Amino acid sequence: MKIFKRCLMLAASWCLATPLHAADAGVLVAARERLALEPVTQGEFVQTRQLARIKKPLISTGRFVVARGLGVIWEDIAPFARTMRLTKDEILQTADGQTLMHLSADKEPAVAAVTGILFGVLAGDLDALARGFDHAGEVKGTHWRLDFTPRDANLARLIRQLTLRGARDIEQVEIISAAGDVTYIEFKAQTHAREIPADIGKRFE
Amino acid sequence: MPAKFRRTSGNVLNNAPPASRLARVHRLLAWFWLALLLGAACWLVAGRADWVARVDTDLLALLPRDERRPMLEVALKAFAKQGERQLALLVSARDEALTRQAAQATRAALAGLGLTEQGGAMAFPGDFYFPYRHGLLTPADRAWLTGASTETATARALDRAYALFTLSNLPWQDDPYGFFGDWLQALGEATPVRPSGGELTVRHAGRAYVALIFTLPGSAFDADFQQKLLVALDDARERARALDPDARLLRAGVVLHAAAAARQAQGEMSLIGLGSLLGTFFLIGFVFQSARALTLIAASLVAGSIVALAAAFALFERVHLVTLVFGTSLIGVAVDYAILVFAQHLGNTEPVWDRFRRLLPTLSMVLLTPALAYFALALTPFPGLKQMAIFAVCGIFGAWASVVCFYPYLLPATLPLPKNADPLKRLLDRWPRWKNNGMAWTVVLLLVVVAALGIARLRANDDIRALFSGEAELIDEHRQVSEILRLPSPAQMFLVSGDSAEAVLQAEEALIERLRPLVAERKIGGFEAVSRWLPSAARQRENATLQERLRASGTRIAKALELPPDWHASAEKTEMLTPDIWLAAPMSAPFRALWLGATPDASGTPRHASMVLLQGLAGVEAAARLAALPSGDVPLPGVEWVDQTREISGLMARYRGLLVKTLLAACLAVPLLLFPFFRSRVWRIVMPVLAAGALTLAFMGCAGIPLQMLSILALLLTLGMGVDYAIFLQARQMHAHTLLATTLAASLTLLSFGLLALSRTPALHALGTTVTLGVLLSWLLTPIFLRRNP
Repeated sequence: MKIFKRCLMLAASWCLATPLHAADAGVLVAARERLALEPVTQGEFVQTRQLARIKKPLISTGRFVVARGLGVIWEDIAPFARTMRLTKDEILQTADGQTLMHLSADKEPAVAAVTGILFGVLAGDLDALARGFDHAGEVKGTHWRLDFTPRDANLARLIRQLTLRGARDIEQVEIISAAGDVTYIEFKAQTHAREIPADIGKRFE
Repeated sequence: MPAKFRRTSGNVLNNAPPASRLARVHRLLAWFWLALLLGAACWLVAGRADWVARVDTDLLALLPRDERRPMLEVALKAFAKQGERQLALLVSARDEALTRQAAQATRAALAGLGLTEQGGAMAFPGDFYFPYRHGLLTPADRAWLTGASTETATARALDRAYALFTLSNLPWQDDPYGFFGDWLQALGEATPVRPSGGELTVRHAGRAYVALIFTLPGSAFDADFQQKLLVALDDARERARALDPDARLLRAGVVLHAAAAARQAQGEMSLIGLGSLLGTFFLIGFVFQSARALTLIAASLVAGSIVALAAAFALFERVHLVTLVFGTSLIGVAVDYAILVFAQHLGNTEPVWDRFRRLLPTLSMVLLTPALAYFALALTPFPGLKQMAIFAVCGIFGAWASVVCFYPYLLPATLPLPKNADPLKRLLDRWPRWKNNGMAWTVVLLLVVVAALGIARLRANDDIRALFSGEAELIDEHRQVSEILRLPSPAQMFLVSGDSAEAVLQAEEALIERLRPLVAERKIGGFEAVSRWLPSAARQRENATLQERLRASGTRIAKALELPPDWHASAEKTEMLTPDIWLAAPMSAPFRALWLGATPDASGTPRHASMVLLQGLAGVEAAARLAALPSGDVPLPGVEWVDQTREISGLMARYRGLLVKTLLAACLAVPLLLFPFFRSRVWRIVMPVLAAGALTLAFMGCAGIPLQMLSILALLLTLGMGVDYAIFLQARQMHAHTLLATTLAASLTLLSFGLLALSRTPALHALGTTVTLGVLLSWLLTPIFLRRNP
């Protein structure tokens, strides 16, 4: 419940405190300077979803790997075990070695837009996000916060707002979908590597 | 040119007609014809002042109508009408930002033309379909639902609830299993175009394009607009290349083909018209050396043009530009009558009226044969050829009638015999003559063998595409645009019909189930069908029933997510989507043309119908499999395969056969008709033109020129004209002036049709080449069969 409360507080704090000032390039630059992007970032996540008209928050936990230039592996452990592999043009979801979902940008161009956003959020590609979204935020010491609102009407049909908070690493992400479902993600125990280990490289093949 | 007649009318006194009854009738006819010509001219000037707008440049207008399926005909026409005002442009540059800039530059270049753009703000189908979602399922989800257990269904919904993201823009609770999202996503497969950043974008072969889709402010056949558009598009291309030298601008639209065809036809009309006229006047001036002759011949041509134009514009709503191009080549034929009359005048001192009376039977005979030949054009089912036939027959009749009605009053008493005829006469004397000896028969045998070998090598080609072709660059761009935007081909499709709208939708669904494997095999790229957007009522009920299986999993999900037990009940009470609702919705606009609605059939009962169009049909083999679908092992009632290209080609083949028979019949009929006049000399008239025809065919066989319906028509024309020269030479015997006249007439015909052979419209090119060859040969052969002068 603690996470849920934080999530609510966070949501409330935006509404009250920060009117969005359009295209604050300084904040983006400051955030990018503080963010240490390494070729590989691994860690754990706690994801809380607050679905529209449903009281119970849905919490899931798992591990993730961001391999820059390759993609993202998002591994749910509880309550359901399943793995999602994101690459530039593809989203592949598997469980127990079986494919649950396979979306490719060749067939559905919207997939490229979604992977672009998820890369931006999970791998900290702030410039990519800034291309499709208006941004605003604030910097306090080593910590920063960025709010992104979609510039494109079609993107706005999917997402109302994205918020990233962090320092050296991205620590919290919040996605508010256009339909009102809220996804709050907290990253923990993040480690970095300068080279992509062979076993991780293999998972993208 | 009535003014000219009046100015020269003083000659009426010179050529005082004999006071016979026949002459009075002739005078009456002459006044009547003059009144008719003046009337026609006035009507053309006053009533058809907008003739430029009535000139058709649409090549499709020349294609035959399908009389057997009026419903389809109406539908295709409506479909073509809707399409002909569209202009699709694809802009692409090095990267996305430059591509967008290039699109903006293109837009700027086209501003001021009054084009309406179909913008990137397409209606989102999800909003429209939301109330009907319970009846909408993809085939994959239908299959999944049939086999899903309560556990798997529960897992699917919870999985989506916990997912990091979904592609859906609906709250989880409105589409817990994601069926509606899947269905909407499947709709997206209908087109590769995606709205993005205010533009319509499409990716193809690793390149990003921005699609600019415009609707024209008026007709695609507005010549003024066409030229402005072409200039603006050239400007747009330059602006795009200024941004990126490798920028691409691909263009597709009926208007572009129409503009290119118009530009080409206008060029050819000037070439053929000016060439024929200059040639005519030069040769006539050279031979007759009389200003009056020149004026009178020009007047007969003007009269012929007035009659032809008035008839064409009176009988047809629109006159095709190709008809006019073809019409200009008639100058060479129409001028013949005047030439024959003048030729008879050379060095002749007989009274004009006597001379004229003696000439009249021959003159009438030489009108009849080409007129009949041109009339054969009207037998074909091609509206364009019918128009050409009427234009030609009226044109040559107009010239002939003017010669017959006015010339006796206007002709000079005599013309000096030109010296130019003498070398021609000497040449003719030295021309080989038919002798009944071994040498001659050897030559004949040799020619027969050569002709037989050549004819044996003839190939037939009934492909409609061999008749009409556009500018290669435009066709290539059109093909690329169709491929990138996955535009369906209107030439091959399924026609689905039934007693009710529901029956049509069900028949479509049965058809589509059979098409899906072909899409998976990549035999076709995809299909466009109304039932994709509007499932039949039966299918919607079936889908709703299938989802009732989810009650048990609904209860489990409620437990897992702490929801009220009836949480899913509201979703089950969705509405039924009917054709009326769908057709009234703005989002159905791009697909409404597929829905043909109700048309009464032969017995008067309304029959509903729709078209199912195919994208990216790959090859003949795929077409054959599609054609076999409706009557396959599991027949598809109400579904009909329509292959317009094939059907038209089949029609052409049938008419080619029919015309071959007509030609053979004409070859028999001409000698029989001429027999009463020429008796034993008939073979001398018929032989040259028959030999010329056979040798023309042999030449085509050797040169690899395929035999088309039009080549047979050209041979018919050759027969008509070739017989004319022979008749004239035989009838008048070997006077130098008749020889001069035929030579002149034939060379002018050769000039006109030779120029027509330069046309880039394959149909006219084929006609021009064959006639030129045939007339040349029959003209060279005719003297061989002349009787020696006594």
